[in-house]
Amino acid sequence: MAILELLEVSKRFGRNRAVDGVSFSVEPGRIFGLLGPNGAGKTTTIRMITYILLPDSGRIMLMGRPVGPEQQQRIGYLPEERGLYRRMRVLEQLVYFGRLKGLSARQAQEAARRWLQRLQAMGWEEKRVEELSKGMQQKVQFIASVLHEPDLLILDEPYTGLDPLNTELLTQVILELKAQGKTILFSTHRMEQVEQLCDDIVLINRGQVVLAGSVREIKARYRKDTIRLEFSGPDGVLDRLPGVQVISRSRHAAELRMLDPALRPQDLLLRLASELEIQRFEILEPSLQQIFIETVSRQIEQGRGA
Amino acid sequence: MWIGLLGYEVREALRGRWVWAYGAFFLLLTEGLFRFASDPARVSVGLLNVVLFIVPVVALFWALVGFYQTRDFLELILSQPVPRRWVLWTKIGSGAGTLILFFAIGILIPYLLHARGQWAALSEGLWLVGTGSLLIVIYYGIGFGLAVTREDRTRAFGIGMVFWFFTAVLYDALLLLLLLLLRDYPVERPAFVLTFFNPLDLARILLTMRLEAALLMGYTGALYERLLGGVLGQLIALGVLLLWAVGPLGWAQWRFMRRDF
Repeated sequence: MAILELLEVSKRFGRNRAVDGVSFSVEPGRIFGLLGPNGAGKTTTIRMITYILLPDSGRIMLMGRPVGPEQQQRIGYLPEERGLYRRMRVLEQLVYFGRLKGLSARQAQEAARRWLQRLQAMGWEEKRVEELSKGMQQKVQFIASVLHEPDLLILDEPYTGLDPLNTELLTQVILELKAQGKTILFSTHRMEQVEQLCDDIVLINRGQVVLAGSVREIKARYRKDTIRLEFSGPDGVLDRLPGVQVISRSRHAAELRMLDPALRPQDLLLRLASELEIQRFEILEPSLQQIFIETVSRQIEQGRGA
Repeated sequence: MWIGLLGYEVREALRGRWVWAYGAFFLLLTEGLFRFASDPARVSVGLLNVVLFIVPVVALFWALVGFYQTRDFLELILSQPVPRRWVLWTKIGSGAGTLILFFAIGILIPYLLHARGQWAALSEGLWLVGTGSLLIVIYYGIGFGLAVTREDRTRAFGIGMVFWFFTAVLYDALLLLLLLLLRDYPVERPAFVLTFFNPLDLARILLTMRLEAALLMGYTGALYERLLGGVLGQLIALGVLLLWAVGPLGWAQWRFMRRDF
Protein backbone atom coordinates (compact mmCIF):
# COMPACT_ATOMS: atom_id res chain seq x y z
CA MET A 1 0.00 0.00 0.00
CA ALA A 2 1.25 3.49 -0.85
CA ILE A 3 2.30 5.55 2.16
CA LEU A 4 1.21 8.78 0.45
CA GLU A 5 -1.47 9.19 -2.16
CA LEU A 6 -2.66 12.32 -3.94
CA LEU A 7 -5.91 11.98 -5.83
CA GLU A 8 -6.92 14.72 -8.29
CA VAL A 9 -5.65 17.46 -6.00
CA SER A 10 -6.23 21.06 -7.09
CA LYS A 11 -5.48 24.42 -5.53
CA ARG A 12 -6.17 27.92 -6.80
CA PHE A 13 -4.82 31.26 -5.60
CA GLY A 14 -7.23 33.82 -6.97
CA ARG A 15 -7.28 33.28 -10.73
CA ASN A 16 -4.06 31.29 -10.75
CA ARG A 17 -4.49 27.52 -10.73
CA ALA A 18 -1.32 26.53 -8.87
CA VAL A 19 -2.05 22.80 -8.74
CA ASP A 20 -4.41 21.27 -11.25
CA GLY A 21 -5.68 17.73 -10.75
CA VAL A 22 -2.41 16.26 -9.52
CA SER A 23 -2.39 12.55 -8.71
CA PHE A 24 0.53 10.38 -7.68
CA SER A 25 1.44 7.89 -5.01
CA VAL A 26 4.60 7.24 -3.03
CA GLU A 27 5.57 3.71 -2.04
CA PRO A 28 7.02 3.13 1.43
CA GLY A 29 10.79 2.90 1.84
CA ARG A 30 11.57 4.73 -1.39
CA ILE A 31 13.02 8.10 -2.28
CA PHE A 32 10.55 10.02 -4.38
CA GLY A 33 11.54 13.09 -6.39
CA LEU A 34 9.03 15.88 -6.88
CA LEU A 35 10.44 17.86 -9.78
CA GLY A 36 9.47 20.81 -11.87
CA PRO A 37 10.59 24.25 -13.00
CA ASN A 38 10.13 27.32 -10.79
CA GLY A 39 6.47 28.09 -10.18
CA ALA A 40 5.35 24.63 -11.31
CA GLY A 41 3.36 23.97 -8.14
CA LYS A 42 5.83 21.80 -6.19
CA THR A 43 5.87 23.86 -3.00
CA THR A 44 2.09 24.27 -3.04
CA THR A 45 1.77 20.49 -3.38
CA ILE A 46 4.17 19.97 -0.46
CA ARG A 47 2.29 22.52 1.65
CA MET A 48 -0.91 20.62 1.04
CA ILE A 49 0.73 17.32 2.02
CA THR A 50 2.00 18.92 5.24
CA TYR A 51 -1.49 20.34 5.93
CA ILE A 52 -0.35 23.95 5.84
CA LEU A 53 -2.71 24.50 2.90
CA LEU A 54 -5.98 22.77 2.24
CA PRO A 55 -6.73 21.64 -1.32
CA ASP A 56 -9.77 23.12 -3.07
CA SER A 57 -10.59 19.66 -4.37
CA GLY A 58 -9.15 16.15 -4.37
CA ARG A 59 -7.81 14.04 -1.54
CA ILE A 60 -4.45 13.55 0.12
CA MET A 61 -4.05 10.31 2.06
CA LEU A 62 -1.15 9.51 4.33
CA MET A 63 -0.95 5.92 5.54
CA GLY A 64 -4.49 5.36 4.36
CA ARG A 65 -6.00 8.35 6.18
CA PRO A 66 -6.67 11.92 5.07
CA VAL A 67 -3.89 14.30 6.12
CA GLY A 68 -4.67 16.27 9.25
CA PRO A 69 -3.15 17.12 12.63
CA GLU A 70 -2.74 13.43 13.53
CA GLN A 71 -0.90 12.70 10.28
CA GLN A 72 1.32 15.77 10.71
CA GLN A 73 2.93 13.94 13.63
CA ARG A 74 4.23 11.29 11.23
CA ILE A 75 5.75 13.80 8.80
CA GLY A 76 9.12 15.48 9.01
CA TYR A 77 9.33 18.62 6.91
CA LEU A 78 12.35 20.64 5.87
CA PRO A 79 10.97 23.70 4.06
CA GLU A 80 12.83 25.56 1.34
CA GLU A 81 12.78 28.78 3.35
CA ARG A 82 14.56 28.48 6.67
CA GLY A 83 12.46 29.05 9.76
CA LEU A 84 14.20 28.93 13.11
CA TYR A 85 13.99 31.18 16.15
CA ARG A 86 17.01 33.36 15.52
CA ARG A 87 17.87 34.11 19.11
CA MET A 88 17.15 30.67 20.56
CA ARG A 89 19.98 28.24 21.32
CA VAL A 90 20.36 25.20 19.08
CA LEU A 91 19.57 22.49 21.64
CA GLU A 92 16.65 24.44 23.11
CA GLN A 93 15.28 24.88 19.61
CA LEU A 94 15.59 21.19 18.75
CA VAL A 95 13.95 20.16 22.01
CA TYR A 96 11.12 22.58 21.24
CA PHE A 97 10.47 20.97 17.85
CA GLY A 98 10.75 17.50 19.34
CA ARG A 99 8.15 18.38 21.96
CA LEU A 100 5.82 19.80 19.32
CA LYS A 101 6.03 16.38 17.67
CA GLY A 102 5.08 14.60 20.84
CA LEU A 103 8.46 13.64 22.34
CA SER A 104 9.19 14.19 26.02
CA ALA A 105 11.85 16.80 26.83
CA ARG A 106 14.30 14.03 27.69
CA GLN A 107 13.63 12.01 24.53
CA ALA A 108 13.96 15.16 22.44
CA GLN A 109 17.23 16.10 24.10
CA GLU A 110 18.74 12.64 23.61
CA ALA A 111 17.65 12.50 19.99
CA ALA A 112 18.96 16.03 19.35
CA ARG A 113 22.40 15.19 20.78
CA ARG A 114 22.53 11.96 18.76
CA TRP A 115 21.70 13.78 15.55
CA LEU A 116 24.09 16.65 16.25
CA GLN A 117 26.84 14.06 16.59
CA ARG A 118 25.79 12.28 13.39
CA LEU A 119 25.86 15.54 11.44
CA GLN A 120 29.24 16.50 12.92
CA ALA A 121 27.72 19.41 14.81
CA MET A 122 28.73 18.60 18.38
CA GLY A 123 29.51 21.71 20.40
CA TRP A 124 26.73 23.70 18.75
CA GLU A 125 24.18 23.04 21.51
CA GLU A 126 24.62 26.38 23.25
CA LYS A 127 25.10 28.49 20.12
CA ARG A 128 22.34 30.88 19.13
CA VAL A 129 20.91 30.23 15.67
CA GLU A 130 21.83 33.76 14.52
CA GLU A 131 25.50 32.91 15.20
CA LEU A 132 25.39 30.00 12.72
CA SER A 133 26.18 30.15 9.01
CA LYS A 134 23.47 29.35 6.47
CA GLY A 135 24.80 25.81 6.00
CA MET A 136 24.96 25.21 9.76
CA GLN A 137 21.38 26.45 10.16
CA GLN A 138 20.42 24.09 7.38
CA LYS A 139 21.82 21.15 9.35
CA VAL A 140 19.97 22.24 12.51
CA GLN A 141 16.75 22.51 10.57
CA PHE A 142 17.33 19.09 9.03
CA ILE A 143 17.74 17.65 12.53
CA ALA A 144 14.49 19.34 13.59
CA SER A 145 12.72 17.52 10.77
CA VAL A 146 14.05 14.01 11.59
CA LEU A 147 14.18 14.19 15.39
CA HIS A 148 10.90 12.38 15.96
CA GLU A 149 11.69 9.60 13.45
CA PRO A 150 8.94 10.42 10.96
CA ASP A 151 7.56 7.84 8.55
CA LEU A 152 7.55 10.37 5.74
CA LEU A 153 10.34 12.89 5.42
CA ILE A 154 9.75 15.82 3.07
CA LEU A 155 12.88 17.67 1.98
CA ASP A 156 12.41 20.83 -0.08
CA GLU A 157 15.76 21.86 -1.60
CA PRO A 158 17.73 20.25 1.26
CA TYR A 159 21.19 21.06 -0.11
CA THR A 160 20.79 24.83 -0.16
CA GLY A 161 23.76 26.49 1.53
CA LEU A 162 25.75 23.27 2.03
CA ASP A 163 29.38 22.92 0.91
CA PRO A 164 30.45 19.76 -1.02
CA LEU A 165 31.55 17.94 2.17
CA ASN A 166 28.25 18.56 3.93
CA THR A 167 26.34 17.78 0.74
CA GLU A 168 28.01 14.38 0.76
CA LEU A 169 27.31 13.93 4.47
CA LEU A 170 23.63 14.76 4.01
CA THR A 171 23.40 12.38 1.06
CA GLN A 172 24.80 9.58 3.23
CA VAL A 173 22.29 10.38 5.98
CA ILE A 174 19.40 10.36 3.51
CA LEU A 175 20.50 6.97 2.21
CA GLU A 176 20.80 5.67 5.79
CA LEU A 177 17.25 6.82 6.49
CA LYS A 178 16.09 5.02 3.38
CA ALA A 179 17.89 1.87 4.52
CA GLN A 180 15.98 2.14 7.81
CA GLY A 181 12.75 1.99 5.81
CA LYS A 182 11.86 5.67 5.88
CA THR A 183 10.08 7.20 2.92
CA ILE A 184 11.56 10.41 1.57
CA LEU A 185 9.88 12.94 -0.67
CA PHE A 186 12.53 15.07 -2.21
CA SER A 187 12.15 18.30 -4.13
CA THR A 188 15.11 19.86 -5.90
CA HIS A 189 16.29 21.49 -9.10
CA ARG A 190 19.59 19.60 -9.04
CA MET A 191 19.11 16.71 -11.41
CA GLU A 192 22.39 14.99 -10.61
CA GLN A 193 21.11 14.51 -7.04
CA VAL A 194 17.83 13.17 -8.33
CA GLU A 195 19.71 10.64 -10.47
CA GLN A 196 21.86 9.71 -7.50
CA LEU A 197 19.10 9.39 -4.90
CA CYS A 198 15.60 8.99 -6.28
CA ASP A 199 13.85 5.71 -7.04
CA ASP A 200 10.74 7.34 -8.46
CA ILE A 201 9.93 10.79 -9.75
CA VAL A 202 7.01 12.92 -10.75
CA LEU A 203 7.55 15.96 -12.94
CA ILE A 204 5.08 18.79 -12.51
CA ASN A 205 4.71 21.72 -14.87
CA ARG A 206 2.09 24.45 -14.71
CA GLY A 207 0.39 22.61 -11.89
CA GLN A 208 -0.03 19.36 -13.82
CA VAL A 209 1.79 16.04 -13.78
CA VAL A 210 3.66 15.69 -17.07
CA LEU A 211 5.83 12.69 -16.29
CA ALA A 212 5.75 10.02 -13.57
CA GLY A 213 7.33 6.66 -12.85
CA SER A 214 10.53 5.03 -11.65
CA VAL A 215 13.75 6.72 -12.76
CA ARG A 216 14.93 3.54 -14.49
CA GLU A 217 11.67 3.09 -16.35
CA ILE A 218 11.51 6.72 -17.45
CA LYS A 219 15.06 6.67 -18.77
CA ALA A 220 14.36 3.46 -20.65
CA ARG A 221 11.23 5.04 -22.14
CA TYR A 222 13.25 7.81 -23.72
CA ARG A 223 15.14 7.15 -26.97
CA LYS A 224 18.86 6.69 -26.62
CA ASP A 225 19.80 9.32 -29.17
CA THR A 226 23.07 10.68 -27.82
CA ILE A 227 26.41 9.36 -29.03
CA ARG A 228 29.80 9.91 -27.43
CA LEU A 229 32.55 9.72 -29.99
CA GLU A 230 36.35 9.60 -29.81
CA PHE A 231 38.32 9.60 -33.02
CA SER A 232 41.40 10.66 -34.89
CA GLY A 233 41.66 12.23 -38.32
CA PRO A 234 40.13 15.35 -39.92
CA ASP A 235 36.66 15.93 -38.46
CA GLY A 236 35.00 17.74 -41.36
CA VAL A 237 32.56 14.86 -41.72
CA LEU A 238 30.84 15.96 -38.50
CA ASP A 239 29.54 19.03 -40.31
CA ARG A 240 28.08 16.95 -43.14
CA LEU A 241 25.90 14.51 -41.19
CA PRO A 242 22.22 14.84 -42.11
CA GLY A 243 19.78 14.56 -39.14
CA VAL A 244 22.58 14.84 -36.57
CA GLN A 245 23.27 17.71 -34.17
CA VAL A 246 26.76 18.23 -32.75
CA ILE A 247 26.22 18.98 -29.07
CA SER A 248 29.86 19.45 -28.14
CA ARG A 249 33.13 18.98 -29.91
CA SER A 250 36.85 19.10 -29.30
CA ARG A 251 39.84 18.01 -31.40
CA HIS A 252 39.42 14.26 -30.95
CA ALA A 253 36.01 13.93 -29.28
CA ALA A 254 32.43 14.95 -29.86
CA GLU A 255 28.95 14.42 -28.52
CA LEU A 256 26.28 13.98 -31.16
CA ARG A 257 22.53 13.85 -31.07
CA MET A 258 20.49 11.94 -33.62
CA LEU A 259 17.55 14.15 -34.49
CA ASP A 260 16.15 11.92 -37.24
CA PRO A 261 14.19 9.04 -35.67
CA ALA A 262 14.82 6.91 -38.79
CA LEU A 263 18.56 7.14 -38.36
CA ARG A 264 20.06 4.02 -36.71
CA PRO A 265 23.30 4.18 -34.67
CA GLN A 266 24.93 1.49 -36.82
CA ASP A 267 24.27 3.57 -39.98
CA LEU A 268 25.85 6.56 -38.31
CA LEU A 269 28.82 4.48 -37.20
CA LEU A 270 29.37 3.22 -40.76
CA ARG A 271 29.23 6.74 -42.13
CA LEU A 272 31.71 8.04 -39.54
CA ALA A 273 34.05 5.04 -39.90
CA SER A 274 34.33 5.70 -43.63
CA GLU A 275 36.14 8.99 -42.93
CA LEU A 276 37.49 8.79 -39.37
CA GLU A 277 39.44 6.35 -37.29
CA ILE A 278 36.92 5.58 -34.52
CA GLN A 279 38.33 4.88 -31.05
CA ARG A 280 35.10 5.08 -29.13
CA PHE A 281 31.44 5.03 -30.12
CA GLU A 282 29.10 4.96 -27.13
CA ILE A 283 25.32 5.24 -27.11
CA LEU A 284 24.40 7.25 -24.01
CA GLU A 285 21.30 6.98 -21.88
CA PRO A 286 19.53 10.34 -21.74
CA SER A 287 20.17 12.18 -18.48
CA LEU A 288 17.25 13.23 -16.31
CA GLN A 289 18.32 16.79 -17.02
CA GLN A 290 17.76 16.20 -20.75
CA ILE A 291 14.45 14.48 -20.12
CA PHE A 292 13.37 17.31 -17.83
CA ILE A 293 14.26 20.02 -20.35
CA GLU A 294 12.76 18.12 -23.26
CA THR A 295 9.48 17.38 -21.48
CA VAL A 296 9.00 20.89 -20.13
CA SER A 297 9.99 22.52 -23.43
CA ARG A 298 7.57 20.28 -25.30
CA GLN A 299 4.78 21.30 -22.96
CA ILE A 300 5.62 24.98 -23.42
CA GLU A 301 5.53 24.50 -27.21
CA GLN A 302 2.16 22.75 -26.97
CA GLY A 303 0.90 25.60 -24.79
CA ARG A 304 1.96 28.13 -27.43
CA GLY A 305 0.34 26.09 -30.17
CA ALA A 306 -2.99 25.77 -28.35
CA MET B 1 1.17 22.27 25.16
CA TRP B 2 -0.30 25.72 24.45
CA ILE B 3 1.41 27.09 27.52
CA GLY B 4 4.70 25.49 26.44
CA LEU B 5 4.41 27.06 22.99
CA LEU B 6 3.61 30.44 24.54
CA GLY B 7 6.57 30.05 26.89
CA TYR B 8 9.01 29.56 23.99
CA GLU B 9 7.50 32.50 22.10
CA VAL B 10 7.71 34.80 25.14
CA ARG B 11 11.30 33.73 25.85
CA GLU B 12 12.23 34.50 22.24
CA ALA B 13 10.47 37.89 22.45
CA LEU B 14 12.28 38.74 25.70
CA ARG B 15 15.62 38.10 24.00
CA GLY B 16 14.96 41.01 21.63
CA ARG B 17 16.64 44.34 22.38
CA TRP B 18 13.82 46.59 21.23
CA VAL B 19 11.32 45.48 23.81
CA TRP B 20 13.84 46.34 26.56
CA ALA B 21 14.46 49.71 24.93
CA TYR B 22 10.69 50.28 24.85
CA GLY B 23 10.41 49.54 28.60
CA ALA B 24 13.45 51.70 29.35
CA PHE B 25 11.92 54.60 27.40
CA PHE B 26 8.78 54.62 29.55
CA LEU B 27 10.79 54.09 32.73
CA LEU B 28 13.11 57.02 32.03
CA LEU B 29 10.28 59.24 30.80
CA THR B 30 8.06 58.60 33.84
CA GLU B 31 10.98 58.89 36.24
CA GLY B 32 12.07 62.13 34.55
CA LEU B 33 8.58 63.59 34.77
CA PHE B 34 8.41 62.74 38.46
CA ARG B 35 11.74 64.51 39.02
CA PHE B 36 10.67 67.66 37.14
CA ALA B 37 7.09 67.82 38.40
CA SER B 38 6.70 66.29 41.80
CA ASP B 39 2.89 66.42 41.61
CA PRO B 40 1.75 62.96 40.37
CA ALA B 41 -1.33 64.51 38.74
CA ARG B 42 0.89 66.62 36.48
CA VAL B 43 3.02 63.56 35.68
CA SER B 44 -0.09 61.64 34.59
CA VAL B 45 -1.21 64.50 32.35
CA GLY B 46 2.30 64.69 30.93
CA LEU B 47 2.25 60.97 30.14
CA LEU B 48 -1.22 61.11 28.62
CA ASN B 49 -0.18 62.36 25.18
CA VAL B 50 2.81 60.02 25.02
CA VAL B 51 0.54 57.07 25.75
CA LEU B 52 -2.00 58.22 23.16
CA PHE B 53 0.53 58.83 20.39
CA ILE B 54 3.46 56.49 20.93
CA VAL B 55 1.80 53.33 22.29
CA PRO B 56 -0.59 52.71 19.33
CA VAL B 57 1.96 53.32 16.59
CA VAL B 58 4.56 51.10 18.27
CA ALA B 59 2.01 48.30 18.80
CA LEU B 60 0.88 48.51 15.17
CA PHE B 61 4.38 48.34 13.74
CA TRP B 62 5.50 45.76 16.29
CA ALA B 63 2.78 43.43 15.03
CA LEU B 64 3.65 44.05 11.38
CA VAL B 65 7.40 43.60 11.85
CA GLY B 66 6.88 40.56 14.11
CA PHE B 67 4.67 38.83 11.55
CA TYR B 68 6.79 39.48 8.48
CA GLN B 69 10.06 38.63 10.24
CA THR B 70 8.79 35.26 11.38
CA ARG B 71 6.83 34.50 8.22
CA ASP B 72 9.02 31.48 7.31
CA PHE B 73 9.00 30.23 10.85
CA LEU B 74 5.21 30.39 10.90
CA GLU B 75 5.12 28.05 7.92
CA LEU B 76 7.24 25.53 9.79
CA ILE B 77 5.12 25.79 12.93
CA LEU B 78 1.95 25.31 10.90
CA SER B 79 3.33 22.04 9.58
CA GLN B 80 3.59 20.75 13.16
CA PRO B 81 0.67 18.99 14.85
CA VAL B 82 -0.42 22.18 16.60
CA PRO B 83 -3.89 23.69 16.06
CA ARG B 84 -3.71 26.83 13.95
CA ARG B 85 -5.65 28.77 16.58
CA TRP B 86 -2.90 28.05 19.14
CA VAL B 87 -0.26 29.31 16.77
CA LEU B 88 -2.20 32.53 16.29
CA TRP B 89 -2.82 33.19 19.97
CA THR B 90 0.72 32.39 21.06
CA LYS B 91 1.97 34.86 18.45
CA ILE B 92 -0.47 37.57 19.54
CA GLY B 93 -0.12 36.73 23.23
CA SER B 94 3.68 36.85 23.20
CA GLY B 95 3.90 39.95 20.98
CA ALA B 96 1.23 42.11 22.63
CA GLY B 97 1.92 40.57 26.05
CA THR B 98 5.60 41.53 26.15
CA LEU B 99 4.77 45.06 24.97
CA ILE B 100 2.17 45.41 27.73
CA LEU B 101 4.57 43.97 30.28
CA PHE B 102 7.40 46.39 29.50
CA PHE B 103 5.04 49.35 29.12
CA ALA B 104 3.46 48.58 32.51
CA ILE B 105 6.81 48.09 34.24
CA GLY B 106 8.16 51.31 32.71
CA ILE B 107 5.20 53.36 33.97
CA LEU B 108 4.42 51.68 37.28
CA ILE B 109 7.88 51.44 38.87
CA PRO B 110 8.27 55.27 39.12
CA TYR B 111 4.67 55.57 40.36
CA LEU B 112 5.35 53.01 43.08
CA LEU B 113 8.56 54.81 44.05
CA HIS B 114 7.25 58.37 44.04
CA ALA B 115 3.57 58.05 44.87
CA ARG B 116 3.80 55.47 47.62
CA GLY B 117 0.68 55.57 49.78
CA GLN B 118 -1.05 58.12 47.50
CA TRP B 119 -3.93 55.99 46.29
CA ALA B 120 -5.34 58.61 43.88
CA ALA B 121 -1.99 59.02 42.14
CA LEU B 122 -1.44 55.25 41.96
CA SER B 123 -4.89 54.76 40.49
CA GLU B 124 -4.06 57.36 37.80
CA GLY B 125 -0.95 55.34 36.97
CA LEU B 126 -3.02 52.17 36.80
CA TRP B 127 -5.58 53.83 34.51
CA LEU B 128 -2.79 54.99 32.22
CA VAL B 129 -1.40 51.46 32.11
CA GLY B 130 -4.84 49.87 31.69
CA THR B 131 -5.92 52.18 28.88
CA GLY B 132 -2.50 52.00 27.24
CA SER B 133 -2.68 48.20 27.39
CA LEU B 134 -6.06 48.25 25.69
CA LEU B 135 -4.59 50.45 22.97
CA ILE B 136 -1.73 47.98 22.57
CA VAL B 137 -4.20 45.10 22.13
CA ILE B 138 -6.32 47.10 19.65
CA TYR B 139 -3.45 48.32 17.49
CA TYR B 140 -1.53 45.06 17.73
CA GLY B 141 -4.67 43.25 16.54
CA ILE B 142 -5.07 45.69 13.65
CA GLY B 143 -1.39 45.32 12.72
CA PHE B 144 -1.55 41.53 12.87
CA GLY B 145 -4.77 41.44 10.85
CA LEU B 146 -3.19 43.70 8.23
CA ALA B 147 -0.09 41.52 8.02
CA VAL B 148 -2.20 38.38 7.65
CA THR B 149 -4.26 39.88 4.83
CA ARG B 150 -1.42 41.55 2.92
CA GLU B 151 1.35 39.60 1.21
CA ASP B 152 3.00 42.89 0.24
CA ARG B 153 4.63 44.23 3.41
CA THR B 154 5.21 47.75 2.05
CA ARG B 155 1.53 48.15 1.39
CA ALA B 156 0.67 46.77 4.84
CA PHE B 157 3.02 49.26 6.51
CA GLY B 158 1.52 52.06 4.39
CA ILE B 159 -2.04 51.17 5.34
CA GLY B 160 -1.01 50.87 9.01
CA MET B 161 0.64 54.28 8.93
CA VAL B 162 -2.42 55.89 7.32
CA PHE B 163 -4.73 54.24 9.85
CA TRP B 164 -2.66 55.48 12.79
CA PHE B 165 -2.42 59.00 11.34
CA PHE B 166 -6.16 59.03 10.71
CA THR B 167 -7.05 58.00 14.27
CA ALA B 168 -4.32 60.07 15.98
CA VAL B 169 -4.61 63.33 14.07
CA LEU B 170 -7.02 63.48 11.18
CA TYR B 171 -10.18 62.12 12.78
CA ASP B 172 -10.38 64.85 15.42
CA ALA B 173 -9.65 67.54 12.88
CA LEU B 174 -12.40 66.27 10.56
CA LEU B 175 -14.81 65.98 13.46
CA LEU B 176 -14.14 69.55 14.53
CA LEU B 177 -14.55 70.77 10.97
CA LEU B 178 -17.87 68.94 10.71
CA LEU B 179 -19.09 70.44 13.97
CA LEU B 180 -18.05 73.89 12.81
CA LEU B 181 -19.90 73.54 9.52
CA LEU B 182 -23.02 72.24 11.25
CA ARG B 183 -22.88 74.57 14.24
CA ASP B 184 -26.47 75.82 13.62
CA TYR B 185 -27.84 72.28 13.95
CA PRO B 186 -28.24 69.99 17.00
CA VAL B 187 -25.14 67.84 16.45
CA GLU B 188 -24.26 66.88 20.01
CA ARG B 189 -25.63 63.36 19.88
CA PRO B 190 -24.25 62.46 16.42
CA ALA B 191 -20.86 63.84 17.55
CA PHE B 192 -21.07 61.66 20.65
CA VAL B 193 -21.73 58.57 18.51
CA LEU B 194 -18.90 59.50 16.12
CA THR B 195 -16.37 59.19 18.96
CA PHE B 196 -17.15 55.45 19.08
CA PHE B 197 -15.40 55.01 15.74
CA ASN B 198 -12.00 56.16 16.95
CA PRO B 199 -10.31 54.13 19.70
CA LEU B 200 -7.79 56.89 20.36
CA ASP B 201 -10.58 59.40 20.94
CA LEU B 202 -12.24 57.00 23.35
CA ALA B 203 -8.97 56.42 25.20
CA ARG B 204 -8.34 60.15 25.41
CA ILE B 205 -11.86 60.82 26.71
CA LEU B 206 -11.60 58.02 29.25
CA LEU B 207 -8.23 59.17 30.56
CA THR B 208 -9.05 62.87 30.67
CA MET B 209 -12.21 62.08 32.64
CA ARG B 210 -10.24 59.89 35.04
CA LEU B 211 -7.40 62.37 35.37
CA GLU B 212 -9.85 65.26 35.57
CA ALA B 213 -7.75 67.14 33.07
CA ALA B 214 -10.48 69.50 31.87
CA LEU B 215 -8.16 71.43 29.58
CA LEU B 216 -7.32 68.30 27.58
CA MET B 217 -10.87 67.05 27.49
CA GLY B 218 -11.81 68.82 24.27
CA TYR B 219 -15.26 69.07 22.79
CA THR B 220 -16.04 65.36 22.75
CA GLY B 221 -14.81 64.79 26.28
CA ALA B 222 -16.96 67.66 27.51
CA LEU B 223 -19.91 66.11 25.63
CA TYR B 224 -19.48 62.87 27.59
CA GLU B 225 -19.45 64.76 30.85
CA ARG B 226 -22.49 66.80 29.94
CA LEU B 227 -24.60 64.09 28.32
CA LEU B 228 -23.81 61.18 30.61
CA GLY B 229 -22.04 62.45 33.69
CA GLY B 230 -18.64 61.19 34.83
CA VAL B 231 -19.16 57.53 35.72
CA LEU B 232 -21.62 56.55 33.00
CA GLY B 233 -19.46 58.33 30.40
CA GLN B 234 -16.40 56.43 31.57
CA LEU B 235 -18.26 53.13 31.51
CA ILE B 236 -19.49 53.71 27.98
CA ALA B 237 -16.04 54.79 26.77
CA LEU B 238 -14.48 51.75 28.42
CA GLY B 239 -17.14 49.39 27.05
CA VAL B 240 -16.71 50.62 23.47
CA LEU B 241 -12.93 50.49 23.88
CA LEU B 242 -13.24 46.83 24.95
CA LEU B 243 -15.31 46.17 21.85
CA TRP B 244 -12.52 47.76 19.85
CA ALA B 245 -10.07 45.35 21.50
CA VAL B 246 -12.17 42.31 20.60
CA GLY B 247 -13.02 43.42 17.04
CA PRO B 248 -9.55 43.55 15.41
CA LEU B 249 -8.44 40.39 17.22
CA GLY B 250 -11.52 38.57 15.97
CA TRP B 251 -10.83 39.87 12.46
CA ALA B 252 -7.16 38.80 12.70
CA GLN B 253 -8.23 35.31 13.82
CA TRP B 254 -10.82 35.01 11.07
CA ARG B 255 -8.25 35.90 8.41
CA PHE B 256 -5.47 33.78 9.92
CA MET B 257 -7.62 30.65 10.06
CA ARG B 258 -8.48 31.01 6.38
CA ARG B 259 -5.18 32.26 5.05
CA ASP B 260 -3.16 30.23 2.54
CA PHE B 261 0.42 30.26 3.80
